[in-house]
Amino acid sequence: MSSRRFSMRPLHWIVLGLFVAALGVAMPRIAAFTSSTGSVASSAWAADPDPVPHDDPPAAAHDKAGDSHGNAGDSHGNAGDSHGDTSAAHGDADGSHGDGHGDGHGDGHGDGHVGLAVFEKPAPVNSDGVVPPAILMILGALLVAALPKLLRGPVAVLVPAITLWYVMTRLEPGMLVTFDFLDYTLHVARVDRLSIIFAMIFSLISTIGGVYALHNGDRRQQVSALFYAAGALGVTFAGDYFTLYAFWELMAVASTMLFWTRERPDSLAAGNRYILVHLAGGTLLLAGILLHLGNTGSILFEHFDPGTGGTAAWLILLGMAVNAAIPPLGAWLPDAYPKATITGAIFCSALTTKTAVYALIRGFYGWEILVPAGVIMALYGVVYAVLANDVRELLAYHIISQVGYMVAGVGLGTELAVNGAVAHAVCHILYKSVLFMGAGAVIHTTGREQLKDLGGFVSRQKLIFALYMIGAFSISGFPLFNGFVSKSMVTAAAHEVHQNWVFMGLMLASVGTFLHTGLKLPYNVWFGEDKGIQPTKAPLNMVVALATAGFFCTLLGVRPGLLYQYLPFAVHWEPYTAAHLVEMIQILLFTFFAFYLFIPKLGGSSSISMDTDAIYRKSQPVFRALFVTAVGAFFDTVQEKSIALAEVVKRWVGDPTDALPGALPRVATDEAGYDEDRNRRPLGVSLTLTMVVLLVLAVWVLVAAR
Amino acid sequence: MKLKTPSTRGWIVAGATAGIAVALQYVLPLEHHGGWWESIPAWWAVFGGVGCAVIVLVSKWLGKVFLQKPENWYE
Repeated sequence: MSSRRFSMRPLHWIVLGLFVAALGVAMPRIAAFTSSTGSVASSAWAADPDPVPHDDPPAAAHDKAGDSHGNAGDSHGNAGDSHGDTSAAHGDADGSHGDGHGDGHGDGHGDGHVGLAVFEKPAPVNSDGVVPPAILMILGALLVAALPKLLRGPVAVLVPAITLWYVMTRLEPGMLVTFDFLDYTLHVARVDRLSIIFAMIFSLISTIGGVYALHNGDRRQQVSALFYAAGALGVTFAGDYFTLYAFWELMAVASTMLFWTRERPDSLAAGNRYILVHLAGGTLLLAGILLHLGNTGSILFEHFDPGTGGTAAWLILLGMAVNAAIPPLGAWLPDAYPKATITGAIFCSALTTKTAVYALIRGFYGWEILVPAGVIMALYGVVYAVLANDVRELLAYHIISQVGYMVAGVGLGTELAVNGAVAHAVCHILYKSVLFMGAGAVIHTTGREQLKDLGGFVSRQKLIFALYMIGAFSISGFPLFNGFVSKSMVTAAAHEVHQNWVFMGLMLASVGTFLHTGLKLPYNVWFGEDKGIQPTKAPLNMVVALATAGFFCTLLGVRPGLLYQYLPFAVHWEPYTAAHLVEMIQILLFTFFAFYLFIPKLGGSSSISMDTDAIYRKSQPVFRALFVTAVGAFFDTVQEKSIALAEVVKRWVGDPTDALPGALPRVATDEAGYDEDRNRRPLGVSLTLTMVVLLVLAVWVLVAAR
Repeated sequence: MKLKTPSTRGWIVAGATAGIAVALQYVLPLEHHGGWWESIPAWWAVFGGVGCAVIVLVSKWLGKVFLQKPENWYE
């Protein structure tokens, strides 16, 4: 225990230093804010007095949500400029959503209501020569597959980097690449602001993931990772359900390889469960798509108005919910991710759930059921993280928790909420990759991945620890880190529409986030009791990748405008306000104090946590008995009985001369003792029988012919 | 693991930090959420500390009565 008092001190000072720095950064903004209090608006922490400039007029920037929103375009241009003004209207969308939140909260917000966001369809842009980014990635994957080991690693970094450059410089909202397939016109690349920002972050993280995996020459992993990223990009730009489904399944198959290639029995088994769950989810999606096609005749991937769409929409939503890991459909995630390869887990943590979030935004923003689902997710992950013992299992549960914020944002469906969901997806991909890369580096350098087996070697791994903490500060929402500028958008959006229980639920989840990823995990891995671990040196490429992702986490934290400029809607919201800073400082500090008291309860132990995957894992013997053993036994029995029956039949329809008195036993021609004269049947008997049969037949024919 | 009391310096640092964090709320000119919780003194400090305790205790309790299983449970 003496090591604890010593070891906690640096962390203490880091935390304090960061708070002081954050206050320093924020002071000018606070001054600006307090000098313009007249503009204080209803969003939770204030409307931005100096909003991030937004080059594209909203009317030209977005895909429209559906025909029913078509007439909302005119009012949207105004709403963008006066988002804080609660009288802003969003055309006819208000009726379906805003009314539910508007009344009965005389709490000083002024109040009317904030309506459902409206994605405007961008004006068509010449798309000649545009290559869907997924195709670039697939070609890159095929190239990598053919290259020798020395070149594979660098090319696996270059391919997503080129794709990122291509997305940022060559694609613009309004582009559309179509492809005729059977009787349908597929929209294989539909470009708008929403798809561009997701494609940017997917390409960026694939590049960083490629760097992290440079030391790993496993061709299967390198190629699978690129195919996986291609799937994510394909989904992101899919304008129709067929394209969406094809890339959805490509993701499922390619990502499964990242578990199987670890080649441990538990990884193989987890990969099997993973692919089965994802194929089941894909089947739900396909069923919904086909039903939707039957109902509407359209395969275009558009928004379903809340409460409409019927069974088809619900099936599609369920299919997407599997990939978004919404409980109880999300147990595959903490089951599989801890068993992925060290480098493969980076891609897993970034791609599958976030493409699902993208798809949910596109198809289901404003669906109110997603709000409670998101809050439950956020808290569900936190509860399990307390119990988690595997390093990456803890992080996996916090993916569920963080995706909960995004899902809740999608459900809230206002501009601030959708912006928050997108911003948080981007930030989450960055900081979660840092966390998984840090954890991966620990596993790589120590060979241990259970909390109970780790501890006490921070002095031998300072750099990895420091880089990990950047991710931990980010996910916890520390000022100056990206979680601070994105997570709070979603919570503010909940408050903006007076969903206070959502607001409080998400705030509580953020306490749990800091508790686990910021305190429990680093304490148990690097501090605590010294287990005498001597980590090997982490490969340089791992450190570089960690530092790069950490750099982006910090960059977006101090310059949120860099992120906000790419969000689907104009941002009129300022994270660095005095209220928000004080709030986070109090929460984080007192969480830290409480953690200090509960350290004895938060160590690793020898147990696993039951999740909903127990339903199919524990019932596996029953299913095996029903569908494998029972079916096998049935066929075996049928086979046995058939053979027995054939024996009986043979006895009855065999050569009747066998039954004649004095018949000799049959002996095969190649058996010893066979005598041609004794054992061969007399020809006369056969001829006689044949003639008798012919005679009978002839008589019968004659009689019948009469 | 036995809990060890921090050193005097540790207590001073912790107390001062906590005091500053709570005092900031009253020193800085803050805009208001309009939520009921704003009338509770040092609300977010209480929320952080108590929230953390609730998360740990409830999760541990759930783990004990229901969720936690031996490592070979699936075998």
